[in-house]
Amino acid sequence: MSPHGRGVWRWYGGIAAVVVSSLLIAWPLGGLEDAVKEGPRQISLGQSVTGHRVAIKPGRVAFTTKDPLPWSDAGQKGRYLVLDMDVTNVSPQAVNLTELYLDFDVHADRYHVDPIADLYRQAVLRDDSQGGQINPGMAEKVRFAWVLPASVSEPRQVTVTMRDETWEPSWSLLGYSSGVSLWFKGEVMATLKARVERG
Amino acid sequence: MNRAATVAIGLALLAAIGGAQRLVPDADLTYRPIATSGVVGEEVRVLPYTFRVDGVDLGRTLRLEKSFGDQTMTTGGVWVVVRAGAAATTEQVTLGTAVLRSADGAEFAVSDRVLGLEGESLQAGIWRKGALAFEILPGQVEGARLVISKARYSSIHRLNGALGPAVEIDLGLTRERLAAAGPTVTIKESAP
Repeated sequence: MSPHGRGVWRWYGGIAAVVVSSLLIAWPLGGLEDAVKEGPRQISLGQSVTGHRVAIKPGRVAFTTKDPLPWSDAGQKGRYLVLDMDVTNVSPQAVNLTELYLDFDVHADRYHVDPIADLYRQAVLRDDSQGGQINPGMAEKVRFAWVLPASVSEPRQVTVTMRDETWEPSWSLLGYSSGVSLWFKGEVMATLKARVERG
Repeated sequence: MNRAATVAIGLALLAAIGGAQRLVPDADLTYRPIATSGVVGEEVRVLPYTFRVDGVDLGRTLRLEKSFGDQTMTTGGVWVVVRAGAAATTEQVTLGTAVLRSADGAEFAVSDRVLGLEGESLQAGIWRKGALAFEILPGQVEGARLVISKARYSSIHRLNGALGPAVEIDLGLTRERLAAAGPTVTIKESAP
């Protein structure tokens, strides 16, 4: 082989070594895959969306003055916004309703419902009792209820964004995964636009 | 050694490093609670307490005997009631987090509709009896094991169970046990 030919092969060998070594380093760190990102789905009442932790099917949004989640038979009169959903836990661990609630962001017309200050209660509804968690594989009826301030007029439409959660290792300050896995807030998986019924 | 051999050895070493990296257990496995196993009827001793399962009952509905009237509760699955006793070792402690771990690894939390033994204060050397009530899908009953971890001391709040003590009990749940389940299981609610 001529000296020129050897030089070309040396270049090819060098490039191949760089490519192979990059793959060998990238592979143990999780590969080179890059998911195609899609925007959040627009859904309406009766349509379901499935994330990594739960599948949600919103059933009804209502404005009512009757207590939607009374502690006692009498209940408490007020100005309530109510969201009823069918929720199925698709993960292998129990879902706490308080954590699930924080994945929701609600606008009633132009009013941004404050997730802390405006929250009335949230509950898993059964005929005989109420609860606060959903076990793996279980499909439950869930109700979120907020109290709207007197300054906010009766809403006609709500926009609800629902955020997914992903099960990932926790990370150290040095930037590598070192801790046990936790549920982290993920991308917005769906946006619900719905008319508010009265009742 | 010629250059080609050096490059080949270098690449082989890189591949070996990659392979070794894949063999390292992840943090969930490395830091999981250290479980002491047992079976129904056996006393299982871990650092904070001694725990024993006396029996297991299954039913489609749960009848809860309360101080102010009884309550019957349905479920989308089946009720698994673990009747058990426990005593603290040296200081006041509660059992902590109790789950039924199915054969495929799904973890069913103890029902939040019932105040059970998991939340009771255990005193040193004094046995306290009670029940742990779970709602679980019928298809997940076979082979499910009781796992209790994250014991809560009144003096120390350590919610992370990493490398902490845990109890794992084989409840002997089979398809036959499920088929023989009665319509209703009755338990007495623990004092809050």
